[in-house]
Amino acid sequence: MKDGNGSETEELIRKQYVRRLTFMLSSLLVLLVLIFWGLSMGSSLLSFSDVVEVLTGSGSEVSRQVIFQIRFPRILAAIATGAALSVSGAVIQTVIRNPLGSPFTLGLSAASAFGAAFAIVVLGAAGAGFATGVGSLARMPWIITLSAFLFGLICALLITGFARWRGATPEILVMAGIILTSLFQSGTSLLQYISTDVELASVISWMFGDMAKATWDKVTIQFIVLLPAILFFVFNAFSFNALNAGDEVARSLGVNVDRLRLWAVVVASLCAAVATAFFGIIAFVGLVVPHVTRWLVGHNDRVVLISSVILGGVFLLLADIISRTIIAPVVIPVGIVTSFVGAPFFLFLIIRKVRKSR
Amino acid sequence: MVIEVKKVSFGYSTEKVLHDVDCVFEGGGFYAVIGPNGSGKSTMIRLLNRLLIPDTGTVQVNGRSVQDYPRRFLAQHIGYVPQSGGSSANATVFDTILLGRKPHIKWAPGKSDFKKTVNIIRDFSLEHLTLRLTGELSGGELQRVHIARALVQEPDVLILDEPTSSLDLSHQIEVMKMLKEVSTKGITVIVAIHDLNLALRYANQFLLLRDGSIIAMGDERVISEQNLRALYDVEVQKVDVDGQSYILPLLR
Repeated sequence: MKDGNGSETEELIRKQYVRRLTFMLSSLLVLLVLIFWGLSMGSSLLSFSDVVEVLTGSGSEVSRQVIFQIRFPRILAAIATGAALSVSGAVIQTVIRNPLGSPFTLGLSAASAFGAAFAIVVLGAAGAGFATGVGSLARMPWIITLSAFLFGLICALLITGFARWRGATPEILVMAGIILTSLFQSGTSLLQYISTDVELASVISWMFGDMAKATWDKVTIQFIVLLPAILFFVFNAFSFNALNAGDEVARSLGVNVDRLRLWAVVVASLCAAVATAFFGIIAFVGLVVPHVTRWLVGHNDRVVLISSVILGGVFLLLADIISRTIIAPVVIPVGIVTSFVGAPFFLFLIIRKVRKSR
Repeated sequence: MVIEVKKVSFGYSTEKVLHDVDCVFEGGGFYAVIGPNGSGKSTMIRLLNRLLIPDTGTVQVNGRSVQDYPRRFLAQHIGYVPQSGGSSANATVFDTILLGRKPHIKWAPGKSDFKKTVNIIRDFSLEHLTLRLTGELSGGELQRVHIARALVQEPDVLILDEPTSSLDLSHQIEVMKMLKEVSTKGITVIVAIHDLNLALRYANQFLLLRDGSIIAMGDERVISEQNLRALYDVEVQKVDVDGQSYILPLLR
């Protein structure tokens, strides 16, 4: 042990803090640029000056309609969905201590898909009207959304119940996730088997994650759920760091490990369930973005969680803009774009892991 | 702070590991818990800060059962260093040590928490490793980091599970010296340890465990040839070199 003034450490920590802050502010700036880009891109191309005019209160009525009724809700929904999926993924990777974890590891996507299929096939929510987008069943998509959300919630409650019964260990959570995924997928297959062609088309169409379903109502609900969830995660970030050191160390540091794990699963599931119920299955965001975030900012959960909220928004907004423009005027569902990016990345992740362990 | 173990029994599934154990850890001592593999040393020390809950009997801190204290309160007073895997390999040394402030923090670490972490990093000569990942450290460095984390908790009692088991000789001595210094500051140190000579050199109280029962507890005198024979079924000789006792196994 020696004497000194500790300035070397303080200087290093100060520099790290500045680096992290710079990174977060730059990411926010990128997000802002993407928002502007997203507002101008689309089947009706608006110039940046058109966008600025509309935002400052002038501009043509058509431009206003396009921006405020179509593009803004879609952009905000993409940001909220990306943020929700990626922050949930980051949290779930921590609590199940598995780098391949995501909201969907716990069976959420399978449960929501089952919920949607249940509404379409059993409750008849699709009907011919839904398939063609016209007719008397215009309000029925809400039943599909509600059912998808309820089954997402049921899945989260089953996971939680299982964890309370057998102990909230990472292994139990992963196993419960696998069981529930398998169960709900079988249910969906059964429903697809007994469905009509129209219903089958509706079920499959629902499963493509698509931001075209965005409305102001949905965006509002998403933010009402997402903002307190982010606060909960960030306030518990220091406890998540303790959890990363192992359950025993976390307990010795005063963390109520089981309670933290349960609440983290519940809140993360809720965020992901809302996003999935509204927009369908958007794969890989919850897996890929937390990993990229950790590569960029390190493994301190406070920084990871805040950054993954921003980067999740950036990632899904970018993917949505690509999905709207890559073969315009055709808009492809954003879930397909994220899967195209996510699948190779997933492979890269596995190869990297294998190389590291050699 | 006094920790009393009263008629404690504990088992994993059906196998009993500790049987009706009674002992007292008075404040300020340097305790070595000694015994063969599987004798219940690690179990014993993990009962002291409620990492494990006794099947029967109680563990009391200052006269009150540990189960009646909030976990956070215990963490403010009892530090723990596990035998292995005590940190995330991807966390920096600074973030790992800062975790020790967890019991004193509601949501986020404040200025004084950073200051205390910076100070202990300096005291442990770890400045050059501040932003290194713990997965990149040597065994000796990692053990120093874990002890630093437990000390930044500002505990009254520090519990360590075989802190020298994965270290070379010089690092074993370094860690034990460090713990001795900690105990001279009034912090009770309790270590589960295999190395009898290190224990004899640095600890001043000894607890001998065999098959989940205490066969002796007390000062250096309980480390007798007779007790050690009973403990390990091995003949040993206690020799004196320059006023310091050493244990020599007699290999026949």
